[in-house]
Amino acid sequence: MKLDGNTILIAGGTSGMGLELAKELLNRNNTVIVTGRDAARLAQAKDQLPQLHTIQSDVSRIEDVDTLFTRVTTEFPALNIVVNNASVRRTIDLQNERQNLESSRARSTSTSRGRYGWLRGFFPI
Amino acid sequence: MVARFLPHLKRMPGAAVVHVSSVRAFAPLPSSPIHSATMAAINSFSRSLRAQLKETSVKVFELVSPVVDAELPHPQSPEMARVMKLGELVRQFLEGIEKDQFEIRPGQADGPQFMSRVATAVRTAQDLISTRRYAEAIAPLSQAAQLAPTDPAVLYQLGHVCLLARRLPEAATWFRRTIAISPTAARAHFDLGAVLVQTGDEDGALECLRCATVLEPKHAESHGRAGDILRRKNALQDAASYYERAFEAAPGTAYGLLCKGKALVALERVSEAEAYLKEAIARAASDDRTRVEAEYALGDTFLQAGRFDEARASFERLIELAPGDATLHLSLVRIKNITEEDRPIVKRLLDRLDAPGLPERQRMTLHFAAGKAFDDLRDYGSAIEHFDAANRIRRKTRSFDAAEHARRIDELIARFSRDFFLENAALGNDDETPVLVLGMPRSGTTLVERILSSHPRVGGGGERGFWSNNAPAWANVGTRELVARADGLREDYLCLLRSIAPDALRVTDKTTANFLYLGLVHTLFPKARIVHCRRNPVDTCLSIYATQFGQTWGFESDRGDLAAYYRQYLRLMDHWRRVLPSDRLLDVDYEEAVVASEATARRLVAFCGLEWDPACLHPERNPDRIRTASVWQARQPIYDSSVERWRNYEPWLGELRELL
Repeated sequence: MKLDGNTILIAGGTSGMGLELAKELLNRNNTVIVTGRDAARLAQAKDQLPQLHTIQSDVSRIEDVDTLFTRVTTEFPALNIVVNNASVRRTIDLQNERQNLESSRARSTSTSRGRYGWLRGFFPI
Repeated sequence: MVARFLPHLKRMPGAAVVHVSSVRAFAPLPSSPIHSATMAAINSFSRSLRAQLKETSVKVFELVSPVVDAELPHPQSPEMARVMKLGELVRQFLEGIEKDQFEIRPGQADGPQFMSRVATAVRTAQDLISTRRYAEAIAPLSQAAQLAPTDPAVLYQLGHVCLLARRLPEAATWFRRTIAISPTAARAHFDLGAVLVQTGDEDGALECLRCATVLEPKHAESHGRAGDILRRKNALQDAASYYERAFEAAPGTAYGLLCKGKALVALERVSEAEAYLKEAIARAASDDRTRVEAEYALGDTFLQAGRFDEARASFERLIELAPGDATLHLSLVRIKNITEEDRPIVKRLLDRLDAPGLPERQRMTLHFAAGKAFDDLRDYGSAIEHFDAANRIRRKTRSFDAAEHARRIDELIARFSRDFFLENAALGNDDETPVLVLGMPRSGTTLVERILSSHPRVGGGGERGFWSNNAPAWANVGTRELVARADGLREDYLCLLRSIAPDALRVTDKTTANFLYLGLVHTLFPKARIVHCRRNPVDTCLSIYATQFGQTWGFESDRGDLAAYYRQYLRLMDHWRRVLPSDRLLDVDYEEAVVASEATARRLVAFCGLEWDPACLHPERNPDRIRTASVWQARQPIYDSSVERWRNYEPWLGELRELL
């Protein structure tokens, strides 16, 4: 597929790989919107790449995804590519009971969020 | 998120969903199970989504990153250079998208193939390791480490095989990298400690081993190796407690028993150690290093207790077990006078020297051993050849600056004048316990200490190194600092001496280099006695040149350095003789001591202010342990075969001739 003239949303694009993708895609004449949880890091990304559009949003929260969807499709109706780069890595010792309790609690609360909810406990697909 | 955006995307011509995952989808990192599972889930989910959206305009891409930023130990570290640069990675991703390549795996992230390539490489290496082809196993493991640069298990194995192949700097690098990724990897700390011991960084090694003992307290060898280092540092009490913990971690094993034996030796309970060491030998397999170590420790206890026949038998067994250990050959020739009958021992030594790939330190030790043997056999030409060869190797690690040394002696002479002692008289106390036996190495200090400590009221302290540790600034200690530290130093020194022999009236300290610190010693202990051992300068220097010591001074491996050091030593001793009270400093000539031993012994005892005791005539019966290079000589009845030995080496004296 062609990689110019697209409108691209990058979830998790304020640093590392996401930001690098944003930069390259801007260079190729695309409209690029990035999201991130941290306002300061969003501002920093915007400083670095002035043409970048930034939206503060935590895509692991379903309410945020709804708001994000409405806002992006209203402001950028030409949106045609969604890049999902949001992820968190934690060091977890599976033999450590306290940590296991926390991760299973995280899992059970997210299960109540619906059909793919349990997956969302791990990552925001 | 996909679910929410999908209806919109489906209406757009040329739409796409792009997921970013990593190689962890196929090769999980055990310390990050959820992250790795998430990556696997993204991969799985992307494949299903791609299948479901086959008939729509929405394409599903997955960008599989070879390594995750957060896994890298330091963003600026050299490891980063090995990992693909981020910009390059993104360029490849975008190129893949443009080519409609749906699962894009640049560099190392070749999905299942990647995993099997790592696994295959590791298996190949393991096969080689099982047949002890360590050097050959490095290549496949390096390949595995290149494929999985952040997998601690692979990095550790690579380090371990480098250690086995004795490629030490590389091993250290890989262990450090393992620890950077997985700081709690106890065995990586342990092995790094083993590497550092072999590269001479004992402090670094001790730190690593201590970490290992905390992380894995049940691993006996971590405790035991830490004990070994502490013992070499002469921190015997600490060494004993580490050995004790090693024993507690593995009480029924050969290694545990060995450590218990070492603990008892460190605590000077040598006779109790024997049983544990023998038991360790009995339980260890014949190819076990523990057996060698236990046999060695046993031989050493025999040696120090003067049981030379048993020691010799022990060393002979050891040479059979570990023919490559040069120290054994040296120990064996040191504890006997080599005669024509011993030619096979000499031949075995020379054969070892011919072995290809012999490490330099081993070669040095063997040359010292061969030199000693040829000297005994009166083949002085061959002897000096071997001593020269040994010293050529020893010289590589020395550092001696004759001019700088002379300058320091100037400073000492200028500072510690008679006036200095008068002005600082208040800093001294009148304790008469210390007797310092000093002089050049190999000048008879062991003999003098043995004569003195055979007296029932005298304790033998051996080489304690107290002053060299506590007076490092030589002459430069400011008077104010000296005043501040005087009480503490006096107390520490007396405490040390009394711990050696609580009831003795006098305790000897035969650290030869103490002549450098007499200014400080006399200031703090004006009543301390100083016995200065003198010997023919060329005999002394030749003997130093021909001996492998447990310590290094820097001047010992070169005739010119030896001559320079000797002259400065004479100059400083002349100074002390001028400024110290004559009843506190006694010169003892080695040559006189060995021919007129009773006269010397009586003079020594009288100098120390003690009543005469006939035990001082038989220092060889003194049961104290000896830890110096003189261990064998000191057990022989006093002998004079070491007088004027230099004549045997007349053609090869070089700069030493200046000292005649």
